Amino acid sequence: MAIVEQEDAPLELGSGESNQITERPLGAFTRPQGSGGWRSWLFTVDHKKIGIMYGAAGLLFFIIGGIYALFVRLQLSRPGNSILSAETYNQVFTMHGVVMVFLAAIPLGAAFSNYLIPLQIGARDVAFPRLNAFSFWVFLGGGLFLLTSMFIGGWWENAPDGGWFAYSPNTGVLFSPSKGIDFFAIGLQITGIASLVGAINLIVTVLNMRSPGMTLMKMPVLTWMLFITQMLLLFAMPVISVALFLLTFDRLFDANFFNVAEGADPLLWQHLFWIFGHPEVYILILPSFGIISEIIPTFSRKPIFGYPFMVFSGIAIGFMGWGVWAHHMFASGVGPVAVAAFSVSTMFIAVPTGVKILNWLATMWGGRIRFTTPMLYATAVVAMFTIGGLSGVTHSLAAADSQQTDTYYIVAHFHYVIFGGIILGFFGGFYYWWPKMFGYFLSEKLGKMSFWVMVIGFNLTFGPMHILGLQGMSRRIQTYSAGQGFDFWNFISTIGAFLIAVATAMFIVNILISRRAYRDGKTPDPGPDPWDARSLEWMTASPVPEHNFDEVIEVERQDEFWHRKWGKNESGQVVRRATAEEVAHDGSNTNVHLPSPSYWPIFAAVGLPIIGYGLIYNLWLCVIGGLFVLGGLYGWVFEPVDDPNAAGHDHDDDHEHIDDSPENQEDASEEVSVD
Amino acid sequence: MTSPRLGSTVSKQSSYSRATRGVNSLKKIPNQHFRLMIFFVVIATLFVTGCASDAPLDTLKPAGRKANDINTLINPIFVIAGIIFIFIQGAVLYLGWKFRVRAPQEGEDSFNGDYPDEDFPEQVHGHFAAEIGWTIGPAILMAAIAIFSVGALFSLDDVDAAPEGAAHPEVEVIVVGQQWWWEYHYYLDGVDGADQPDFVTANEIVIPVGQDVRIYTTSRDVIHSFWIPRLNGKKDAVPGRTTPWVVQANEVGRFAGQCTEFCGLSHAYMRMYAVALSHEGFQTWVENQLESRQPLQEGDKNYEGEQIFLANCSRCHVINGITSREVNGSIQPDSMAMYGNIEEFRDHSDGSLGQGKYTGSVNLTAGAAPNLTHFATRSSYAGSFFELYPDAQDMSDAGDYLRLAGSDYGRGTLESWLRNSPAAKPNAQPGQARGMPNLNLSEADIDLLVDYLISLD
Repeated sequence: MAIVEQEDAPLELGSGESNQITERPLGAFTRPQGSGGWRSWLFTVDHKKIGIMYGAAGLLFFIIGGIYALFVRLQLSRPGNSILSAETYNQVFTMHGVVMVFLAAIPLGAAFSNYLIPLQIGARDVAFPRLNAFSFWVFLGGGLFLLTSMFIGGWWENAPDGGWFAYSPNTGVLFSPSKGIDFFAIGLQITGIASLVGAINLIVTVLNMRSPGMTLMKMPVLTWMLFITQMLLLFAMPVISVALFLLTFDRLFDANFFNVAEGADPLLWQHLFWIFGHPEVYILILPSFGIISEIIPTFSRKPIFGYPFMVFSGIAIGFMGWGVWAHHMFASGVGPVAVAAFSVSTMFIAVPTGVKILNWLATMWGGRIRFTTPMLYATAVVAMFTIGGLSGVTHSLAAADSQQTDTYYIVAHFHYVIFGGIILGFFGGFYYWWPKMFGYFLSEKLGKMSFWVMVIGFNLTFGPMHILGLQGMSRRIQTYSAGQGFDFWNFISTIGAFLIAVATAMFIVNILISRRAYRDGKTPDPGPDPWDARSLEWMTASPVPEHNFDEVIEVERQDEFWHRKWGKNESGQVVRRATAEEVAHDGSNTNVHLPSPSYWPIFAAVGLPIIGYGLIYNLWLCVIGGLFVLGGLYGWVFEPVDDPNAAGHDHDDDHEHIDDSPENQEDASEEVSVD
Repeated sequence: MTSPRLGSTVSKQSSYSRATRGVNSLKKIPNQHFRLMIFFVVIATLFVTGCASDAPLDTLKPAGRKANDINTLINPIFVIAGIIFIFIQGAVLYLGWKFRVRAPQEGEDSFNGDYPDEDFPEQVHGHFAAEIGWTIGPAILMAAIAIFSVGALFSLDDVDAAPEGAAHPEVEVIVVGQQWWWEYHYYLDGVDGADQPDFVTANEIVIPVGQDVRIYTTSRDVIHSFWIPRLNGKKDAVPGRTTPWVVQANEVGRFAGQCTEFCGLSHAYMRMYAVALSHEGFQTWVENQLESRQPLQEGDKNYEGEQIFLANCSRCHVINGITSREVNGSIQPDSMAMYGNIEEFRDHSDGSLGQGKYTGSVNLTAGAAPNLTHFATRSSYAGSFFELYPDAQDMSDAGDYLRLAGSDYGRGTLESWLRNSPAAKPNAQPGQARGMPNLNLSEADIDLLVDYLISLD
């Protein structure tokens, strides 16, 4: 087959022998076998399973972060409320931000990246499958590590309490003596490793593993946006890693990077944090932009309007995103010249974003729009993100921002961007790709109901915050007084938050109901291509077989799959060339060599949180954690490249076997997967 | 290419089992849009009514020159943003309405994707001129806004000359944030070259009306942000930095403020007021603030209260002329010298962050507590979270701020604050030397102490 894992190549070099495995460096450790049960998830290197696990974990963290948000809203529903003490409130709103940004939004983006990038470019898997598994387990370990801060050493005693932005010196030991900021710094350090490793993996995948003929400018917009996201992660994560290292050393080893009394400038942290933090915003939003750039054309039955402009505006956002970070610091006293420069650059980043919005509208224009649930979500993203974008322009004016910053106006702004732009987009993506991932539809009826509840709840929650902010309500305050005029809108906002919770619960119920109906055989078969879609992931069976495609797809143009289904007659009308079933692969090719599962990614990943606990509580634990990591890497390097008897795929596959057909052999040389 | 929602296409699509669905969904989809419209109308109504409510921190009700300038800048932007908002939302609704076709959704819950084959619109891939247009157009709009924006930004940092008749045209104030209250160091002739402030007060910054008063924000511990929304935007108070900013009010009155940079436990309770007095009023206020006290003698009214204060409060609180502390091994009366000058806030290499009333590691957090020399002249206390005088707002707005001392005050709240301050608002935590601890005073002591404090006019 086309895509062959040639991880055995290094062994070959030494011996010059064939890559038939006769010797096992660590005889006890063969690679895991079997494609069913929990083991197949723990040890998988399949990008689809990893993508699904990212999605499940992200959704779980989204619900946890949402529960924090509900408590914040309950506390603020009335003036002078005391549901949460100030001490607990500071931890809860910090955890809400940290969990939502780092443990929900980033991994949900990673879920779509992992699942869809290889499929959209017609690849067998990502470039480094074991590394992919490693980044997921590292992420999950880091996320759970962060969450344990809630109850280790007492219930809400040791959770981070410095805000997700963790401004120094408030995060120094002197001002935050609990272990919370340690958990924050080390936990994010760990999840940062996951993001960085994943980014490198996916960048290599996109650059090296595209189907023959798929030039960069024939890639789907989603793959483009995810690719830009990975590039941003690649450059942004090291910055936050450095900042977190400095913070960790300040707190644990009495360093003085942020100790003002020793002459440090606290603005150093702000610069480091926001040089990461602002590209982070685009890391979060670009996947969603990509998702709706797939959904809107499909359900408008038109190609995306202005493909090159969609791609280049994404790239422009990626570049300009690095030149706007200090707009988070307009009030910090960096001086009017710096403020003016960042103010102007911030205003101009609205231009490529506006291009995208108008292109989505132009795609809808003249289309045959089918308002399925995914399309409803995608349309809502266009509408709601626009609101966030417009309020963003109002505080790019630095003078105006001096009134708006750190008020609920900002909270409203970025929730319209993050919830209205990102989370709604992800939900649209769930409904859109669900049949592809699992082989059954989510209920449209429940989906539409939950959509309306969610959009109404969302607007009720965050719309009033614009008013509250302009009325002068500060962010991150545990309570307010009755005479401040904030009562009414806070109450409305709390109602809205619970509507969002109801909508999310409806989504979960939808999954359970639809899944049961599927098990009972009551749902229609989605087939390979339920929506008459355009990109390559629809050109294989649903759910996607482990080997993705039966054979390598020769790509001639953008939207290759659509063009195989549809052509034009003499009068220029679109006519069917072939049905999706005829074009799509049915997954019946059993003659495909796949990378074997591996014990070592999860083994090595477990070590990192242990090192984290060790740094905080007892350095000896670091030794144990370090042994896990080193042992994992050792096993990783020396584990047998493959198991000839592996039953990892539903066929008995000769290790050396490559599909005989000449065309595929030719491709094999191009499509090499090195683990 | 007819849309299947038209009746004529129903027969054409007889090969599709779902041909009759159109009737159902024709009702369904408009219904959704109708709901959406209702929703926006409700929101708009609520918005209009909500803005009418009274909010002392309202950024849209400027009472100072700077806040006014900001509003002049932002109001047209709100209008432009509103127009774009209506245009985009209108486009979404219009396009969704105009070009919709129903999704097949008969009987069963799930969509099964059976679209009519022939129903395709024209396959438009793009339009170069349009793309260039909506790249350049917004860029030009942004450039135009940027010109006004940058102009407004630079003028925001300008300080005008004091108006005619100003009693103290050179007055400058160092505004020191700390967990969780504000301290004001008044330099009547400016901070340059001065060794120490003329006097120090807390929670309420008092300014002469109409005059730009330059302040320097700084901090003794973490970052805070100084914000009186009706007078000016906010400026962070960063330890080790002194950042110039302006406070100016067009009218006499009391203007609420709130610390807006998250500063730890009691952030929500860190508030302040700016009070604008007439120029004569300001002069009177300054003269009063410059006065020190004399220690009371046995038999004087409030003598016991002063003794309780010295025994329980003077470790942290200063009353000019009364309190004293150990400096370099000898007891010395407190003086303005201990507050240092602006250079000490900039150069903190000795760890003092401007000044410290104590030495040692808790210096940063516990060093300073409000100077109480003229406690009773202020309308609020404890980070301006509690009002000392119930009528403070109305009296200050009427120009009677100076008459607050001696008027009716809220004794019960002050007593409960002294009884157990961490219970009254989030405050000192075990292991953290900051905020006011529970002093475990007896009720009799609290009574005497309240009488004493309220005499500090």
